[in-house]
Amino acid sequence: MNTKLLISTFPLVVVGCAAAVSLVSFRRHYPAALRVLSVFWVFNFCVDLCGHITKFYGLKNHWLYNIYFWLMYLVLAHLYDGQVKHKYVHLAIRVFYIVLPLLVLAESLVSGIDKLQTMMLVAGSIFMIFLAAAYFRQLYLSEDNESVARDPWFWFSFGFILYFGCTVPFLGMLNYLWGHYKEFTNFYYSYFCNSFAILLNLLIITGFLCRKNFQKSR
Amino acid sequence: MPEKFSEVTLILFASTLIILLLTGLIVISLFINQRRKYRFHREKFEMKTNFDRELLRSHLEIQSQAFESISRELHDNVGTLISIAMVHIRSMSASATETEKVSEVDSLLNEAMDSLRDISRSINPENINRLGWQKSFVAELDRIRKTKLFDVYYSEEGLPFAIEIQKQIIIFRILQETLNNIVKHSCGNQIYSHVGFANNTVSITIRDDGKGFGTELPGEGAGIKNMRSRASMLPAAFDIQSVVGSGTTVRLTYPEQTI
Repeated sequence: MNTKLLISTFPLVVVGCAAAVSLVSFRRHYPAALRVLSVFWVFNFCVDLCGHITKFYGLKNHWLYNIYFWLMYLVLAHLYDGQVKHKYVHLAIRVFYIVLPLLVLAESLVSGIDKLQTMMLVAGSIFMIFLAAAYFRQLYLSEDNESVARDPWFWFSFGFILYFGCTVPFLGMLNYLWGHYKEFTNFYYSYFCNSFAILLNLLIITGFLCRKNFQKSR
Repeated sequence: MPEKFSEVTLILFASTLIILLLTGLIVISLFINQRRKYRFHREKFEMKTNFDRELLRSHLEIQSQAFESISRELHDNVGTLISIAMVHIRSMSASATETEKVSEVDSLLNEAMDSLRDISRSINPENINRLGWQKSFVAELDRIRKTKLFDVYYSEEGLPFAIEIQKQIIIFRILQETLNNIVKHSCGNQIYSHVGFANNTVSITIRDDGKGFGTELPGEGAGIKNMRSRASMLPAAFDIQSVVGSGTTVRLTYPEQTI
């Protein structure tokens, strides 16, 4: 196995680990939202696996990631809807449910589904950062005395802010960069984007394992 | 590596770095805020505990002064009046039939005088200071025994040890309140009390054979709340167990070494 393949495969292994660990939510008294996220993370692993297989056979897989990101943004927005207790955030999520499909439709009509839909990626990622920040604000203002380190959604939000925040400038310009700086794009994707993906998955694992008993105070 | 280090790559790296820094700052500020909140809650809790303790202490002081004043009034005023009445009755010259009535009145006044003295002693904090909590408790049991409403049993074991005078008053008031509750509410016939000293800990158990009030204590009355507050001031373990129809048991365990 060459180094390049190893570097590109390692994040997949971490995603697989995160998906496996997330299944712990079905054993103990975990809240339903964590189970939904766990199912989504298993789906995430399956999509990533498919992505790697298609890439290995030299097939274009942007359509797969387009579909994956649509679903990811909608699922995460739905999950944050249950976590963030603020009426404007709920309203923003409702608007997002309408705007995102419209954006996807418009971008699909203009550039097709085969090309990575960068506008949707930027809009979705920014909205995810907004939701994670809203959750942090809620934690900041909360009167609850419990440690944030025992809150799974703190770790997830930390991961989402890091991942989406650090990859959105790159993903937003991916089509342009792919056309003009192919080697650099490959380099940045392999080392930086994958590092942030690994970090996100490590934080997801932390989130699922940070607490064993949810019945005491929830 | 990149073909050319352009503005685009610079923007990419710079924005990533800025976002990383911002995220780090947000997370650190969250943890700092959490610590501050935790400290604030702890201070608030300590302040509330101190306030409650001070409130209870002043309440007990006021109560103690009130008891002292009532005791003095009973002894000096009502007691004197009864004594004068007794002197007058004894000095009365009466016929043979009236002598019997006068003697009965005299006996009743004597009994009233004894009860008055007992009550006066029982509520006077100075008396507890002088006799100590244990003797005052036994005197209280005697007072109940004299009423003939209850059969009173008392037992003790172990060697008594010295307890701070303020704490003795608190212990006695808890026991007094327990006995008052038994007399007022238990509808029983017997009171069993046991005082045990072991390992610098005194355990006092008072049990009655009254109607009880079940294991739950729905809406604890002010009396029980006061008893619990007083026990927490010592600090001592205070426990009430009651079964409907089988009486109530009150236990007070005070470990002296915690002072």
